[in-house]
Amino acid sequence: MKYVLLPDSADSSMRAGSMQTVARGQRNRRTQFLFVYSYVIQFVFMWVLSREGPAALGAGDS
Amino acid sequence: MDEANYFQFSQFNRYVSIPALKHYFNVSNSYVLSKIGLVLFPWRHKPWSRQQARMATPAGPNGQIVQQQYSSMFLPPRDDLNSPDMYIPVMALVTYILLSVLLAGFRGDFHPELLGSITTTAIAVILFEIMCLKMAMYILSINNDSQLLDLVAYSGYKFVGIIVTMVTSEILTPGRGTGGWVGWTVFIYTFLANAFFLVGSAIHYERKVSCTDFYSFAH
Repeated sequence: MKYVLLPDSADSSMRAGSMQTVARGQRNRRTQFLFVYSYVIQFVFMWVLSREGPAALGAGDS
Repeated sequence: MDEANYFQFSQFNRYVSIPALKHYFNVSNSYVLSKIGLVLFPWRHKPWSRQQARMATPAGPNGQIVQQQYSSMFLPPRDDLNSPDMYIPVMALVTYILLSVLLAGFRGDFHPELLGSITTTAIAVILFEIMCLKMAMYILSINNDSQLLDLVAYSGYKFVGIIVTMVTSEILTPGRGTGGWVGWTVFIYTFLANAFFLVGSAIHYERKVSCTDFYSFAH
Protein backbone atom coordinates (compact mmCIF):
# COMPACT_ATOMS: atom_id res chain seq x y z
CA MET A 1 0.00 0.00 0.00
CA LYS A 2 2.87 2.39 0.62
CA TYR A 3 3.67 2.41 -3.05
CA VAL A 4 0.11 3.54 -3.70
CA LEU A 5 -0.79 5.89 -0.87
CA LEU A 6 2.68 7.16 -0.04
CA PRO A 7 4.20 7.07 -3.49
CA ASP A 8 6.58 9.95 -3.11
CA SER A 9 8.62 8.26 -0.41
CA ALA A 10 8.73 5.13 -2.50
CA ASP A 11 9.47 6.99 -5.68
CA SER A 12 12.26 8.92 -4.03
CA SER A 13 14.21 5.71 -3.96
CA MET A 14 12.96 4.85 -7.41
CA ARG A 15 14.44 7.80 -9.20
CA ALA A 16 17.97 8.79 -8.46
CA GLY A 17 18.51 12.43 -9.00
CA SER A 18 14.85 13.31 -8.67
CA MET A 19 14.33 13.18 -4.95
CA GLN A 20 10.81 14.38 -4.41
CA THR A 21 9.74 15.35 -0.97
CA VAL A 22 6.29 15.87 0.39
CA ALA A 23 5.41 18.53 2.88
CA ARG A 24 5.16 17.23 6.41
CA GLY A 25 1.51 18.28 6.69
CA GLN A 26 0.63 16.55 3.46
CA ARG A 27 2.43 13.43 4.56
CA ASN A 28 0.64 13.46 7.92
CA ARG A 29 -2.71 13.72 6.16
CA ARG A 30 -1.84 10.79 3.93
CA THR A 31 -0.79 8.72 6.93
CA GLN A 32 -4.01 9.60 8.76
CA PHE A 33 -6.01 8.59 5.73
CA LEU A 34 -4.09 5.32 5.58
CA PHE A 35 -5.08 4.51 9.17
CA VAL A 36 -8.71 5.54 8.55
CA TYR A 37 -8.80 3.37 5.44
CA SER A 38 -7.18 0.39 7.13
CA TYR A 39 -9.16 0.45 10.37
CA VAL A 40 -12.45 2.28 9.79
CA ILE A 41 -13.34 1.67 6.15
CA GLN A 42 -12.10 -1.90 6.21
CA PHE A 43 -14.15 -2.58 9.36
CA VAL A 44 -17.33 -1.34 7.69
CA PHE A 45 -16.79 -3.28 4.47
CA MET A 46 -15.75 -6.49 6.23
CA TRP A 47 -18.77 -6.22 8.53
CA VAL A 48 -21.10 -5.74 5.55
CA LEU A 49 -19.62 -8.67 3.65
CA SER A 50 -19.48 -11.05 6.60
CA ARG A 51 -23.16 -10.28 7.33
CA GLU A 52 -24.16 -10.50 3.69
CA GLY A 53 -24.29 -14.31 3.84
CA PRO A 54 -26.58 -14.48 6.90
CA ALA A 55 -28.63 -11.53 5.63
CA ALA A 56 -29.16 -13.28 2.32
CA LEU A 57 -30.16 -16.41 4.21
CA GLY A 58 -32.73 -14.44 6.14
CA ALA A 59 -34.08 -12.98 2.91
CA GLY A 60 -34.43 -16.49 1.57
CA ASP A 61 -36.80 -17.40 4.39
CA SER A 62 -39.36 -14.81 3.43
CA MET B 1 -15.46 -14.12 -35.94
CA ASP B 2 -11.70 -13.69 -35.51
CA GLU B 3 -12.05 -9.98 -36.15
CA ALA B 4 -14.73 -9.73 -33.48
CA ASN B 5 -12.50 -11.53 -30.98
CA TYR B 6 -9.58 -9.33 -31.90
CA PHE B 7 -11.73 -6.24 -31.48
CA GLN B 8 -12.91 -7.36 -28.04
CA PHE B 9 -9.36 -8.21 -27.00
CA SER B 10 -8.04 -4.85 -28.21
CA GLN B 11 -10.82 -3.02 -26.37
CA PHE B 12 -10.02 -4.97 -23.18
CA ASN B 13 -6.32 -4.30 -23.64
CA ARG B 14 -7.03 -0.56 -23.80
CA TYR B 15 -8.11 -0.53 -20.16
CA VAL B 16 -6.13 -3.39 -18.64
CA SER B 17 -2.52 -4.14 -19.43
CA ILE B 18 -2.22 -7.87 -20.01
CA PRO B 19 1.51 -8.05 -19.10
CA ALA B 20 0.80 -6.15 -15.90
CA LEU B 21 -2.04 -8.52 -15.15
CA LYS B 22 0.21 -11.53 -15.72
CA HIS B 23 2.63 -10.10 -13.18
CA TYR B 24 -0.08 -10.24 -10.52
CA PHE B 25 -0.90 -13.88 -11.25
CA ASN B 26 2.72 -15.06 -11.24
CA VAL B 27 2.41 -17.00 -7.99
CA SER B 28 3.53 -20.33 -6.61
CA ASN B 29 2.00 -22.74 -4.12
CA SER B 30 4.44 -21.77 -1.39
CA TYR B 31 3.75 -18.08 -1.99
CA VAL B 32 -0.01 -18.57 -1.72
CA LEU B 33 0.29 -20.49 1.56
CA SER B 34 2.77 -18.00 2.99
CA LYS B 35 0.67 -15.02 1.91
CA ILE B 36 -2.50 -16.40 3.46
CA GLY B 37 -0.53 -16.98 6.65
CA LEU B 38 0.77 -13.44 6.45
CA VAL B 39 -2.71 -11.96 5.99
CA LEU B 40 -4.00 -13.91 9.00
CA PHE B 41 -0.92 -13.60 11.22
CA PRO B 42 0.91 -10.41 10.25
CA TRP B 43 1.99 -9.49 13.78
CA ARG B 44 5.63 -10.54 13.71
CA HIS B 45 6.35 -10.28 10.01
CA LYS B 46 9.25 -8.20 8.76
CA PRO B 47 10.53 -6.69 6.58
CA TRP B 48 7.55 -5.27 4.72
CA SER B 49 9.43 -3.64 1.88
CA ARG B 50 9.08 -5.01 -1.62
CA GLN B 51 12.12 -6.43 -3.34
CA GLN B 52 13.41 -5.16 -6.62
CA ALA B 53 15.56 -6.60 -9.36
CA ARG B 54 17.99 -4.54 -11.35
CA MET B 55 17.90 -5.05 -15.07
CA ALA B 56 20.36 -3.71 -17.60
CA THR B 57 18.81 -2.31 -20.71
CA PRO B 58 21.37 -2.69 -23.47
CA ALA B 59 20.35 0.19 -25.68
CA GLY B 60 22.58 2.24 -27.84
CA PRO B 61 22.75 3.77 -31.28
CA ASN B 62 24.39 1.69 -34.02
CA GLY B 63 24.83 -1.15 -31.61
CA GLN B 64 27.23 0.69 -29.36
CA ILE B 65 26.67 1.00 -25.70
CA VAL B 66 27.17 4.64 -24.96
CA GLN B 67 25.26 4.74 -21.75
CA GLN B 68 24.05 1.70 -19.92
CA GLN B 69 20.85 2.19 -18.04
CA TYR B 70 20.01 0.03 -15.08
CA SER B 71 16.32 0.01 -14.43
CA SER B 72 14.67 -1.99 -11.73
CA MET B 73 11.30 -3.53 -11.38
CA PHE B 74 9.46 -5.11 -8.52
CA LEU B 75 9.81 -8.85 -8.27
CA PRO B 76 6.68 -10.89 -9.02
CA PRO B 77 4.69 -12.36 -6.14
CA ARG B 78 6.33 -15.74 -6.73
CA ASP B 79 9.67 -14.28 -5.63
CA ASP B 80 8.54 -11.66 -3.13
CA LEU B 81 6.10 -12.33 -0.31
CA ASN B 82 5.41 -8.61 0.11
CA SER B 83 4.32 -8.14 -3.47
CA PRO B 84 0.55 -7.79 -3.97
CA ASP B 85 -1.05 -10.42 -6.13
CA MET B 86 -4.45 -10.90 -7.75
CA TYR B 87 -4.64 -14.67 -7.41
CA ILE B 88 -5.55 -14.76 -3.72
CA PRO B 89 -8.15 -11.95 -3.93
CA VAL B 90 -9.86 -13.53 -6.95
CA MET B 91 -9.86 -17.01 -5.44
CA ALA B 92 -11.03 -15.61 -2.10
CA LEU B 93 -13.88 -13.72 -3.79
CA VAL B 94 -15.06 -16.83 -5.62
CA THR B 95 -14.70 -18.92 -2.45
CA TYR B 96 -16.68 -16.33 -0.47
CA ILE B 97 -19.55 -16.45 -2.97
CA LEU B 98 -19.63 -20.25 -3.13
CA LEU B 99 -19.25 -20.59 0.64
CA SER B 100 -22.16 -18.25 1.30
CA VAL B 101 -24.36 -20.25 -1.06
CA LEU B 102 -23.11 -23.53 0.43
CA LEU B 103 -24.03 -22.43 3.95
CA ALA B 104 -27.45 -21.46 2.66
CA GLY B 105 -27.77 -24.92 1.18
CA PHE B 106 -26.87 -26.53 4.51
CA ARG B 107 -29.79 -24.72 6.06
CA GLY B 108 -32.15 -25.56 3.26
CA ASP B 109 -32.48 -21.95 2.18
CA PHE B 110 -30.69 -22.18 -1.14
CA HIS B 111 -32.19 -20.46 -4.12
CA PRO B 112 -30.35 -19.49 -7.30
CA GLU B 113 -30.88 -15.78 -6.77
CA LEU B 114 -28.43 -15.96 -3.87
CA LEU B 115 -25.53 -16.35 -6.30
CA GLY B 116 -26.44 -13.12 -8.05
CA SER B 117 -27.18 -11.09 -4.95
CA ILE B 118 -24.02 -12.09 -3.07
CA THR B 119 -21.83 -11.60 -6.14
CA THR B 120 -23.39 -8.20 -6.82
CA THR B 121 -22.87 -7.08 -3.24
CA ALA B 122 -19.24 -8.25 -3.13
CA ILE B 123 -18.30 -6.61 -6.42
CA ALA B 124 -20.20 -3.44 -5.47
CA VAL B 125 -18.25 -3.23 -2.22
CA ILE B 126 -14.95 -3.58 -4.07
CA LEU B 127 -15.92 -0.97 -6.66
CA PHE B 128 -17.15 1.43 -3.99
CA GLU B 129 -13.94 0.95 -2.02
CA ILE B 130 -11.82 1.63 -5.11
CA MET B 131 -13.89 4.75 -5.83
CA CYS B 132 -13.37 5.99 -2.26
CA LEU B 133 -9.64 5.35 -2.55
CA LYS B 134 -9.34 7.10 -5.90
CA MET B 135 -11.32 10.06 -4.57
CA ALA B 136 -9.12 10.26 -1.50
CA MET B 137 -6.01 10.02 -3.66
CA TYR B 138 -7.32 12.91 -5.75
CA ILE B 139 -8.06 15.01 -2.66
CA LEU B 140 -4.65 14.22 -1.17
CA SER B 141 -2.92 15.00 -4.48
CA ILE B 142 -1.53 11.52 -4.89
CA ASN B 143 -0.73 11.24 -8.55
CA ASN B 144 -0.15 7.56 -9.09
CA ASP B 145 -2.47 6.30 -11.76
CA SER B 146 -0.54 3.14 -12.52
CA GLN B 147 -1.34 1.41 -9.25
CA LEU B 148 -5.02 0.61 -9.77
CA LEU B 149 -4.34 -3.13 -9.79
CA ASP B 150 -2.46 -2.76 -6.51
CA LEU B 151 -5.54 -1.17 -4.97
CA VAL B 152 -7.75 -3.96 -6.26
CA ALA B 153 -5.34 -6.57 -4.91
CA TYR B 154 -5.08 -5.02 -1.45
CA SER B 155 -8.83 -4.53 -1.20
CA GLY B 156 -9.37 -8.20 -2.03
CA TYR B 157 -7.34 -9.63 0.86
CA LYS B 158 -10.20 -8.90 3.24
CA PHE B 159 -12.10 -11.87 1.81
CA VAL B 160 -9.57 -14.22 3.41
CA GLY B 161 -10.53 -12.99 6.88
CA ILE B 162 -14.23 -13.04 6.01
CA ILE B 163 -14.01 -16.66 4.86
CA VAL B 164 -12.21 -17.66 8.07
CA THR B 165 -14.89 -15.87 10.10
CA MET B 166 -17.75 -17.59 8.28
CA VAL B 167 -16.18 -21.07 8.42
CA THR B 168 -15.17 -20.83 12.08
CA SER B 169 -18.49 -19.49 13.27
CA GLU B 170 -20.37 -22.12 11.25
CA ILE B 171 -18.26 -24.92 12.74
CA LEU B 172 -18.33 -23.74 16.36
CA THR B 173 -21.84 -22.31 16.44
CA PRO B 174 -23.73 -24.00 13.59
CA GLY B 175 -26.86 -22.29 12.44
CA ARG B 176 -26.15 -19.00 14.19
CA GLY B 177 -24.18 -17.40 11.41
CA THR B 178 -21.56 -14.79 12.22
CA GLY B 179 -23.73 -12.93 14.72
CA GLY B 180 -22.78 -14.99 17.79
CA TRP B 181 -19.94 -14.29 20.15
CA VAL B 182 -17.69 -16.71 18.27
CA GLY B 183 -18.41 -14.95 15.02
CA TRP B 184 -17.76 -11.55 16.53
CA THR B 185 -14.53 -12.70 18.20
CA VAL B 186 -13.11 -14.22 15.02
CA PHE B 187 -14.34 -11.24 13.02
CA ILE B 188 -12.57 -8.77 15.30
CA TYR B 189 -9.36 -10.79 15.10
CA THR B 190 -9.41 -11.13 11.30
CA PHE B 191 -10.32 -7.47 10.91
CA LEU B 192 -7.40 -6.39 13.12
CA ALA B 193 -5.05 -8.74 11.26
CA ASN B 194 -6.16 -7.37 7.90
CA ALA B 195 -5.83 -3.77 9.09
CA PHE B 196 -2.37 -4.47 10.54
CA PHE B 197 -1.39 -6.13 7.26
CA LEU B 198 -2.50 -3.08 5.25
CA VAL B 199 -0.79 -0.60 7.55
CA GLY B 200 2.34 -2.74 7.74
CA SER B 201 2.51 -2.86 3.95
CA ALA B 202 2.26 0.91 3.87
CA ILE B 203 4.22 2.27 6.78
CA HIS B 204 7.33 0.15 7.00
CA TYR B 205 9.51 1.16 4.17
CA GLU B 206 13.17 1.46 3.49
CA ARG B 207 15.07 3.83 1.37
CA LYS B 208 17.99 1.61 0.73
CA VAL B 209 17.49 0.50 -2.83
CA SER B 210 18.39 2.82 -5.62
CA CYS B 211 16.42 1.72 -8.60
CA THR B 212 17.67 3.63 -11.55
CA ASP B 213 21.29 4.36 -11.95
CA PHE B 214 23.20 5.52 -14.96
CA TYR B 215 26.68 4.38 -15.66
CA SER B 216 28.61 5.93 -18.47
CA PHE B 217 30.94 3.84 -20.49
CA ALA B 218 33.41 5.58 -22.76
CA HIS B 219 33.56 3.65 -25.97
